[in-house]
Amino acid sequence: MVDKKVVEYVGNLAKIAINEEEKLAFSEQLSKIIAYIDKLKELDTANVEPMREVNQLEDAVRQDEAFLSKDSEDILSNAPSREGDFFRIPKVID
Amino acid sequence: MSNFETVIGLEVHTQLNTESKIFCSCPTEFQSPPNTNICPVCCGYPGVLPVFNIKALKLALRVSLALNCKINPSIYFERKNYFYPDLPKNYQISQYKMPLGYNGALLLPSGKKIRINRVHLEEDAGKLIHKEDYSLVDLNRTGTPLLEIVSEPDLSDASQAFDYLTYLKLILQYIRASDCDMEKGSLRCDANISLRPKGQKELGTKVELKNMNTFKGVRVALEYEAKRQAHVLKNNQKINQETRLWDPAKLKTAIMRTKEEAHDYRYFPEPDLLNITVGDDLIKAESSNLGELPLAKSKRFLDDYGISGKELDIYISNINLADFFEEVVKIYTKVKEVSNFLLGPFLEQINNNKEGFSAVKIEAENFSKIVKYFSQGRLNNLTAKKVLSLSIFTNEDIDEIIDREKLTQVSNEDELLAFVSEAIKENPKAISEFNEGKQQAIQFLVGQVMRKTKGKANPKLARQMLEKTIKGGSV
Repeated sequence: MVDKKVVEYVGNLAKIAINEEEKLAFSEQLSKIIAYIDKLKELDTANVEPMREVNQLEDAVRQDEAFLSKDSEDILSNAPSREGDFFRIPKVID
Repeated sequence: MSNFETVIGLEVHTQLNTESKIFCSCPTEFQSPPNTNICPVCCGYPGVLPVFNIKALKLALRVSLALNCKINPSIYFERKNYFYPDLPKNYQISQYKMPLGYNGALLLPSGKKIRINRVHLEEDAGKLIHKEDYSLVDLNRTGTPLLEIVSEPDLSDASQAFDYLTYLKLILQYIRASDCDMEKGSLRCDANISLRPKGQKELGTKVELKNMNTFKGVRVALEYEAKRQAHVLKNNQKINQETRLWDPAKLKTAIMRTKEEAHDYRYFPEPDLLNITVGDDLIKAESSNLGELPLAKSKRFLDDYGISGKELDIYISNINLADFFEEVVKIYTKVKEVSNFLLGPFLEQINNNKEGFSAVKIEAENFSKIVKYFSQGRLNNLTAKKVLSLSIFTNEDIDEIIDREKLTQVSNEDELLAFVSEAIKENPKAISEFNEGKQQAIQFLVGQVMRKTKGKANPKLARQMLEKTIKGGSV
């Protein structure tokens, strides 16, 4: 059961504001999802290797070659706020 | 503090020596202007795909092998979720359940064995610059390949922690995995420290220490924290499990303000990256890329060159100098002469240069001429140093410098005679002092001859001639 407290906790971790009405709705929806996972848990997977990806591919790697992206200036100008070549953000405290 | 025993474990982060970032092709160059080495991948734009840099795996594997780790034959990445503006994806791609290397050990020169818990790959975060009422973000560093090396709590005091770091850094440099420059932030260290009553098996409550920016800082911070904890425990108070920041100005640790629930990282497998096989051929290749490790080099320098003690320590801790030494003695085989000149004038020049060894341009063959000419008497102490200072950072040909600067030592009696006579004429006081038996007076006169010849006179010959002339009374 995902109660209101858990919804608040998850909301906090995700840094999103959730109002009372949403808390109730999310609590119901998340509970259903968890219940479904619990249903899946009934299967005996003791001898099944966890599957981390479905492509059955391996080792898509690149060689260590560096080049400058053409997008750096665009990325900076997309930012809500910049100062020179820096992104400018509200003051952060640890 | 005598009733307590200190237990320390270290967590070292080191940037790997790659040209490009771990999941995109942006350069890892340290000195670039802010936000030039960034792209949609490392900036966490939607819809982009990270692709793994195989060099990062090779170097990480090399480190794992150097630290005698077991290797996971297949690895995968996980997402460590947290919100902080130095990592715009809002998660760090890291390894959690299956680190590349585990159950290793580092044998310190003292003989103490420090077990290694794990070695895992991850991406570095960007840099924040805090202003009065806002912050600035530079994402150049975001995505630089980073290796986390976690020791077991096997270190029993601050100086052992210092030794471990020093030796670990040396190994990382020997195997060319990282340049380990703490000033550039390519090596960083956090520490876990706890105290327990002597003889107790269970570990005490640990405190995590952060913000030590030098190895010395790590040592002083650990010394301080051990005292602080002992004081708390002696007063029958409890240690809180917390993160404390070292303040290098106040020489104190202070609790770091943290929000509750901050450490729920909700790891899950990174779906954008495939599993990676760490095959036997890769392991074999990196084993052979390890090269010579410090202990082996130490033994070889002692056996092959008879270098020991402090001199040996200098070579072992300075791999560039050691390599250069070996190149030189291949050309000019008088080990003692080469070593004296390298550890003396050569090292002095390097220590006075801001860039250190990386500024050295002189090649071994050119350098060997200086040592040879010095030993032959063609250059003296002063002129040899002068020639070195002119060529060490330029590699200008030694013979050309000697020619141009007219630095060949004057070892010819006829050429010196005039200078010797002058020196004697001008210094009657020194002569009478010498005649009264004051040996130092001759040293003064030799100095005068050196000055008159602009340092070119063979001081030994000048001395002989001075003594002969004064005693013979022929002036």
